[in-house]
Amino acid sequence: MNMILLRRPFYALLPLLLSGAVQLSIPAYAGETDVAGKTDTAGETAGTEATDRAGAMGDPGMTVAVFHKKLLGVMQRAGELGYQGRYRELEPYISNCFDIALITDIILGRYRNRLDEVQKTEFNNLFSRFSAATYASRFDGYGGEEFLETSREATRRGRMLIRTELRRPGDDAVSLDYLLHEKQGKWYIISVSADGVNDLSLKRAEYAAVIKEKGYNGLLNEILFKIEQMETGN
Amino acid sequence: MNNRHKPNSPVSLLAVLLAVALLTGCAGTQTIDGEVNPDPYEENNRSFYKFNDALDRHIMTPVAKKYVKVTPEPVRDGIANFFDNLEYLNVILHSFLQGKLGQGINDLTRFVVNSTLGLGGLMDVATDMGLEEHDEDLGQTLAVWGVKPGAYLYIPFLGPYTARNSPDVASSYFTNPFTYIATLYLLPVSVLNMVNDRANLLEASEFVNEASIDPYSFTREAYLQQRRYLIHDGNPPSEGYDDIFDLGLEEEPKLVIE
Repeated sequence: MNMILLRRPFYALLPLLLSGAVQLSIPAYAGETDVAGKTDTAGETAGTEATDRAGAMGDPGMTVAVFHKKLLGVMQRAGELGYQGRYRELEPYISNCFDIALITDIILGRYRNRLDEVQKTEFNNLFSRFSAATYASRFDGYGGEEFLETSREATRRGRMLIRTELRRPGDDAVSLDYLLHEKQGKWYIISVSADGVNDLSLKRAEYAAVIKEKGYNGLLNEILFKIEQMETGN
Repeated sequence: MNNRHKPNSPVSLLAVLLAVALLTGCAGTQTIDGEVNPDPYEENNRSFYKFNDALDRHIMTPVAKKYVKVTPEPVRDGIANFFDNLEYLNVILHSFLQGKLGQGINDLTRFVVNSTLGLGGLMDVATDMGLEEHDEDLGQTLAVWGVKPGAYLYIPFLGPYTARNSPDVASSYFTNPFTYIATLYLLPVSVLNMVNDRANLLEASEFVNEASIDPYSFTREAYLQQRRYLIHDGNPPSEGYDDIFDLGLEEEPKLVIE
């Protein structure tokens, strides 16, 4: 018993989750570089334009930088915007900038082939909502954080790995690694790893377990329930 | 404390842990459709997960919330620093065992500085002096030495492990100075350590509940990935990032275990 008490308890891995692993386990999307304090009233259009601009520059680092800047802007105005405001600002960036179809392909794995086209589209939309809701729920304040790109590396399969850090005053930095791929001349974020924990792997494992136990409809219900919880703050 | 609660003798404890590690290591090499299955004990692991979760919900979390109300954050930070410093001897040992001489000297210096200038470890002055904190343990040492990870284990009270990392329970035990003081003091001090740790993680645990739809799978995947990250000292090879995109859609979800 004493040995057990001396051992760091079973939730010892939670600091990494607090540090952002789950906040950023959501496929997020690069958006436009709005100035903090300015409400984005044409979010979807702006998001698309921003993605076009980042892609046209042919620089995957720009996609990440634009997304980070948007996040910081929302964090700095978090109280003024409220949950719904943060959701409205972030949702266009989620749905326009990530390759949601590829991400959900990976996350659903072999279950993806059992869905018809309508179901696939519905799942993509639901996943975008879930992602935006999670960001809106978690990025609810600002404490002097900043994002910095630390290095970049082309992978053997032609993708680009952008390594960044989330620096927090008085706290350890969190490493955030973004994997991007190029599609039709644009660079899209397709995966985020926070301190080594990869979002796609987490969700792929989770969703497979839920589908196995509760079926595909059970998975949809679970995601809807989580969105509702975040919307109501419960 | 009655006899039932006395710790096992160190030798028998180590023997049991090593036996468990070896047995589960073999189990971890079982395959399903040609793929290594790192979680062959999933059914039992899930049961233990539910046990720990219930313990946490009904005892640890309520106690931690009350503790937070009566303990200022600087005090909680000081207590956390104190216990982290004591546990750091395990880090020093495994820095050297992995052949990281410079890092080991840094870690040893860090321990001495925090134990003296840091008032017995209550303050982390070493970090301010540029002595970086590291995270090493027996599981990482065995990985560096080429030992395979073996099966994923979820252990009552302790939480997630791989078979390879499970003997670190013994390593942490023997390298912690509190192991060698009287049991009379050990119990309350250890309880304080647990409650303080839990209190500092309240927000994190709420976040897990909010974000995950299958907390068991979430915890397993996050743990295995975190272990891989630590083994590579925070710089895992970039090709690993591509792997998940190169699986066929018909393949079962593949756990990264290294």
